[in-house]
Amino acid sequence: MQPVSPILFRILLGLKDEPRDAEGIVSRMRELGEDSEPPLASFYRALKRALDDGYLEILDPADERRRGRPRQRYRITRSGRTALAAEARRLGRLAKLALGAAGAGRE
Amino acid sequence: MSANRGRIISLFERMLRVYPDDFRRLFAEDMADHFSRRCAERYRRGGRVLLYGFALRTGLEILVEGLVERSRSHRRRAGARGRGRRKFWSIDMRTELRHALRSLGKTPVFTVLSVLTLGLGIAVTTTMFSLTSKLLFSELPVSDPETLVFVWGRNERASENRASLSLPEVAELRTEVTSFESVAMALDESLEITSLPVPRRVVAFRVTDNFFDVWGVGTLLGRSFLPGEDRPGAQPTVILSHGFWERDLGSDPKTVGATLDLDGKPHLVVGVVSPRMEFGDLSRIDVWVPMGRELRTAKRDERLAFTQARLKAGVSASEAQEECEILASRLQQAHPESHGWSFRVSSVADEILNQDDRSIVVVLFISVGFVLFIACANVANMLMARTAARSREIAVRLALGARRSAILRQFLTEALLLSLGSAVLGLFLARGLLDLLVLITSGEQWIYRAASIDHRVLAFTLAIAVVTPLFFAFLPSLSASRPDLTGSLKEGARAGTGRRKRSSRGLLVTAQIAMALSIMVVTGLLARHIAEIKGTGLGFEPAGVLSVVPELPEAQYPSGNEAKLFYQELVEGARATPGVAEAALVSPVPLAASGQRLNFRVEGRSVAPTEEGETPSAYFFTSGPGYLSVMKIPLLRGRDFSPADEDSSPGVALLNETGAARYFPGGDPVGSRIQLVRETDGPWIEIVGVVGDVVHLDDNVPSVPQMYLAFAQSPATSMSVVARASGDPSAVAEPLRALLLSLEPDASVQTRTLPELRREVFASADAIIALFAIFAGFALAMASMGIYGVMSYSVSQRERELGIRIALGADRADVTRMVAREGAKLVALGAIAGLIGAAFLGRMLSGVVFGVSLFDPVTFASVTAILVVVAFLSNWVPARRATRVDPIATLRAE
Repeated sequence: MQPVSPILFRILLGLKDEPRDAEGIVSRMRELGEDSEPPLASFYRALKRALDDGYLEILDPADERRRGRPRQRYRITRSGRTALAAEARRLGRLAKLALGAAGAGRE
Repeated sequence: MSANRGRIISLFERMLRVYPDDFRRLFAEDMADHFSRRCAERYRRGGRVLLYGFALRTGLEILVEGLVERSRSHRRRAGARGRGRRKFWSIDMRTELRHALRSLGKTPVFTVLSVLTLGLGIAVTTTMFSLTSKLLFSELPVSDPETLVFVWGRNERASENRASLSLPEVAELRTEVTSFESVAMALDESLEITSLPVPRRVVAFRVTDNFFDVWGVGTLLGRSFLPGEDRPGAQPTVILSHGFWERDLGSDPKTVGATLDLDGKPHLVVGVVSPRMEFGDLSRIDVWVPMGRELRTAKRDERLAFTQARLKAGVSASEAQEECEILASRLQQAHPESHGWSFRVSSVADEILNQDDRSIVVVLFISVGFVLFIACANVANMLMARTAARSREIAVRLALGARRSAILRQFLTEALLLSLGSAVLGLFLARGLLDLLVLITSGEQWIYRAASIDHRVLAFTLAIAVVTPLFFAFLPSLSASRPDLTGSLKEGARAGTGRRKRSSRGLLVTAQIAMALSIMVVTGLLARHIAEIKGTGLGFEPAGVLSVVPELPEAQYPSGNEAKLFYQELVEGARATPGVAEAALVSPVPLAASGQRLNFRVEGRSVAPTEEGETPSAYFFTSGPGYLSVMKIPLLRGRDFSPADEDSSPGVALLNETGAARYFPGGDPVGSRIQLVRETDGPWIEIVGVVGDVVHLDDNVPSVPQMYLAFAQSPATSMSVVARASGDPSAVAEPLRALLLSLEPDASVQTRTLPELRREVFASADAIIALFAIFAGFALAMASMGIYGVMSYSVSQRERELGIRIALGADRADVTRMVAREGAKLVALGAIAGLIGAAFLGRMLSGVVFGVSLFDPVTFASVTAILVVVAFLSNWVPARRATRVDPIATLRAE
């Protein structure tokens, strides 16, 4: 599995629990500890890539309107979850390595 | 502020068009919404500064990302054939962009200055384009524009080819010219809507019943005028313009069918015209009312009708022209008032831009081109300096095997980013400039109100942004990718000092100075021309004067005598009105209309009236005693009209200065007698005084002969009162209106102060001057920055040489002079080229500028002096710095 870009990782993470609109994803990213918002153009580019790669899907607009939700919402797909998990594992391994090296350095 | 934010957001929405369609379909709405909320948040947090910074940065990102996305989608569509290259490009382009962004970020001062400079250049270009695109590409409000023509009155001897027609002429065109399917006409009028909570004066067009049919424009609500509705005695009806209905009546659909009181008379509202009709000058019309007059019996010497016609299928405008000329020659024989008058049939396309407008537009475009060039040249100069500073970095990359094309591409990418950033800034500034123009013209000119940043303007700006880097970055990029490797790599070596590089930068500065001077001279000429007319050049003092223009119900004033009595009572009443210092009668009011041009013969001279160019002619006005004093028109010789000049006493007239000089050269016209040629047996009229020249509307040539006839002796039936108020002239408007209506309850009346009229007449000129002034100021600033940059750079490059000269005992003053001489040469060369350019541009304005010579020495000399002083100052500062070179430090470095 190809590593996903940092911004896409954060988007996928933001959508892990429930479908959200673009604004909702950004708010969730903030809740998860992001200090700054991603640049608008990069954010939407990442969304487009994620849709193209099948990591995300857009909820049916007609259905959404019936539920009184005017904004487009995105939902993570199965392959999106797989990519998110794979990237998390990869980052985890890297973190472990880095922490291990730091620990070795302290000793 | 929220209006500004709204504009920023709408601009952002338009910028999203740079993305491919599929992307936009998915995200455009979300992105705009997202952007708008972030804008609001930025504004809350940090006011305008944070908002504009955010908008600018996001705009640039959108442009770059949009282009990347577009090329990605294009490649995807291109399919497998380009797969090999695809990888290369997609990596390459993004890397290139990132590299360029990083490199620009490292030199923030250079980046900001370049974006500002180019942004200003792009802003004026975009503003100009959005104005002309409105003129050139606007959809005409009419159906089948090719069969719609305008019919004007033409009188070659009076150099008139855009005169209105008389009502009987329109009636004759309708019945006698078979080329026309239908002929419509309109009279300009001002009416007061008295049934609104606050009575308001509106601009009305009094039209024939077929007006909207001829234009091919329908109504948005209700109906158009019915056949016969324009006859006298028909029920008064009114059609509202879309703008008026929207602005003043809150788009209330119930207005149709209701009644509106116009000048106190109830009119049934029958429709609201389609918004398509708000085009060109027609956009100022608020309401349309039917003619209500018999065309045939109206006066033939009153030329008021704005006339249009539909050509029959298969008939050309020139065929219609021929037929009109036949009619004209018949009318000339039958009616003395038609003597010399013919018709001119012109197509809609000719009407949109007349010759004078066209030459102004061309000169504006050339000036805009100059401004953009000057901006590009400055950025090119800055880039060259930056390139020279980076020569070591480039030499290292080349030495390590980088291809020259890669270096070139990097430079061009940086330039492209700069110009894209400038384009975003330019778009915002252009919007501001358009608003400024609306402000200057007080919203009087439709073109400035209508101009907007639409998709066409966006495409143009994008094209400019892509093309300009070729101009400003090509030279520096070429020279950068061809450095002297060994020289550049040596520690301490200086690059960019070569004679060739210096001369190419000098050439750019010379061109900048030349172009700046040309624009400044043209601005000076136009400004002098307007100032000439506006200031003392009007020939009268408009401040404090109110004009009262009544329209009498014709049926109640069948002969001139009743009307004369009425006007006499009116002016006497006006004089007795509190707040009025002086009042007099005149027709027409200066600035509101031009007088009628008539031929006359001078007693004792045997000049046949038919000999072209030889017949004395003048614009004729009618005025009563006291007029000169009310308007403060100087009486140069003889006397003014007096109450003793009655109907029964010998005819008297006043001639203006130009008329006196032209027709009585070297002599005194006072005492001479003239006779109007339209009345072959008419009375002889004695010239009793010579007065100053006065500017009247439509006199597009200065200082024309003007003649005043005494009110009591002339048959003028539509007079106006001009009243000089002791205080604010608008304060006496209401008492005078009440006075008039007490004398004639059925009359309608229009009151305007002369300063108001002056503002309207000069609104367009003011805007053009403002445009040129902005260009000229910008050009001057840029050119002086250019020379400052080049000279500072030259001094910094020659520090060693100057240090050695000083160490060897050169006088510091001599060093300053030597350096200054180099800059002076550039300034002098630029000034000479600029003067030639200015003469060239000035000639193109020959139809527009009068009152000053196109080679006006005052303008040429003063503008050149300003430029030379500014340029020398910009040159002197670096030259002075040259003397502060420390010879010891220089020698130590050696």
